[in-house]
Amino acid sequence: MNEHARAHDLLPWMVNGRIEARDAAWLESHLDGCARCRAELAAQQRVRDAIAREPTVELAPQAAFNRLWKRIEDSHAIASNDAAPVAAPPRATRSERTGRWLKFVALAQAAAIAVLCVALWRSPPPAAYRTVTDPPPGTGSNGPVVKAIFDDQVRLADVKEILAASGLVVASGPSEAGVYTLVPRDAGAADIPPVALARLHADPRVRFAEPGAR
Amino acid sequence: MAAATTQQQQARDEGDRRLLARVAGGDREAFRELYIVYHRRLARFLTRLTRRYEIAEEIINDTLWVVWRKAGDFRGDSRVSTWIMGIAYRRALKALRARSHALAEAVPIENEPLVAPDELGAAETSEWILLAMRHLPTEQRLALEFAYGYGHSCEEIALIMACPVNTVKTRLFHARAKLRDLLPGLAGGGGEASSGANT
Repeated sequence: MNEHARAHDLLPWMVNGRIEARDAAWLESHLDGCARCRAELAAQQRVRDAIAREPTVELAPQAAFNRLWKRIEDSHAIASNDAAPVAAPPRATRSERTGRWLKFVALAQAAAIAVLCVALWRSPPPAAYRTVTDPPPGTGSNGPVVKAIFDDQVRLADVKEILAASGLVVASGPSEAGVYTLVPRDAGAADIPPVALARLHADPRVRFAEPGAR
Repeated sequence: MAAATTQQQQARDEGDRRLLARVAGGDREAFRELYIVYHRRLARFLTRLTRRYEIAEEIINDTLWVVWRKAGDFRGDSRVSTWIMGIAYRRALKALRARSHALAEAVPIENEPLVAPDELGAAETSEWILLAMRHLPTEQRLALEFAYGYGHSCEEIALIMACPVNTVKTRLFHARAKLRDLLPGLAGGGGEASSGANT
């Protein structure tokens, strides 16, 4: 393989940061003397930037999650009712599915009713899920909270760092609007420490942070 | 936005593994957290691929359904994101096949440039690139998405696409050549690119 071909093959991994150190050293020295490969590097960086851009459409992951969770609960109800194997996810097209879907809904409904009857009779443990009207988990339902919105570019590692610095933890969120409910790490705290709020306000990665009600 | 560094990816994977272990134990809140993270990640390429959000969501939910059921089977041989992306890849191909590729390959393959080199302004470069990508065969396009959109290594992409490493290299090679044909000005500084062609 000639030098240009080798460089050409390695460029994507330099562009995405996954190149081996030894290959990177060789490629850098090749690029120093090769305008053609430098131009290709620039082209690939543009392609990467275009692909890695966040979508402009507004997503509603919580609503989508609720739909999936309903499907999981329905399948569990069927499985526990008649010991049938867990249904595979529907794979057919929307139009092909309609008939089967109606049967599935009827079956799921009947199964759910049966399961509920048994469950009521047995006086079940508290549900393992929360509804939107339930208080978020955390340090008690009446404790102090901070409502916060992080910058769109903030990563999970940043959030962890911001929370560690301010002595707070996430009790719930993000909401559909991207709002997190934060509570003091110290479960017994009677109020949000002013220094915690000050840290959030001073951090450029935090777009909004104010004390709020659950 | 540049691809995440290896360190950031490792930190992300550790977080994913902790969540997945809780999901394997039936923890709904952990599943919700994992879902929110991967909904965002998967929606980006699936919405582009299918061009319809409701189909993208269907694929995402099929994918995460499998994750919920198979979380306990994950052995940690790869990153969690590689595993989930592999599931999403197979689901996406099935969804596209069920629709006779009408969505993914609606744009005929042509060899004419989409835009002349001197018309490729910096401001709209990204739009042109995303448009040009719609002219690529699905496999080539997805190889680019996995490499540049998600920062996967060549070996990880081979795992995701269940193909040899050399096939990934070939797909990327052809994808890049096609983009170059469609967007002759992609490298920018046309003078430098052409003058360097013989170096």
